[in-house]
Amino acid sequence: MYNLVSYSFYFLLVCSVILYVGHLCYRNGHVFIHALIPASPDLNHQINRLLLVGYYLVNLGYAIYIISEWEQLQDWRTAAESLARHLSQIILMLGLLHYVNIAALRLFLKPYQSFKS
Amino acid sequence: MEISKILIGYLIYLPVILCMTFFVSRTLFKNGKIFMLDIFHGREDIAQSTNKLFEVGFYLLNLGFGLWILEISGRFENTYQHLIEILSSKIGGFSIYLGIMLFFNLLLFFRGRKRSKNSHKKQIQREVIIKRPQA
Repeated sequence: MYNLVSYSFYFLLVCSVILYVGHLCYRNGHVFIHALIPASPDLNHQINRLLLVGYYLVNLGYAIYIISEWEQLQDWRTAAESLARHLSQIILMLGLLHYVNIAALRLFLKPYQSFKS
Repeated sequence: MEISKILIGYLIYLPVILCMTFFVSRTLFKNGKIFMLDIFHGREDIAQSTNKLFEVGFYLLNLGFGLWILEISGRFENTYQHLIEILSSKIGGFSIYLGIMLFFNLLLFFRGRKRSKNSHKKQIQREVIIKRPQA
């Protein structure tokens, strides 16, 4: 019973975090893709969509996979602790990947760095 | 009784770290907007996007770390005194971590600003050098 409760909490929280972050990156990443390929806005839109779908697949897949390796819980304390541990693993990884992505964007954008008005 | 005291500790700890992260990131990124405008030479859209991306990263890293250190492990003496001591060590540690992250982000902003100023200057010099033979 503890396991089921923590699974449902975990799934709700992880899904909302991943969906929200993906949505934000999708909305704000548009500018960067536009800076990389300024020629065709249509292609940019498609690339952005594909990136979003890939992000969702990888992250949601990993988040769901973690449920299969959850330990057996005895009481509310272990439930809260394991919930926090798994959530924090996913959120920290997302954060680190996010910073790596920003660094990669910087590298990609370096040849195009004349952001003059 | 031990379990309920630890759960009370968790219930106090969680809102505290949520509020701290929220307020720190709000102040940081309200002012970060100005830095970003400076870095991207006044291009509004790309400055706003970069600021938003950094804000998301800040939230993810800090909330992830806060949840990571939530677990009260080891010996617990089952008194409110010990609970308060543990909580103070956790919240104080998280606060110090938050301060370090704040300075790290400020460092990123300052470095980006310096670098973009340098590249802008170089570009102006290059344009001057290119234009000179024609004149």
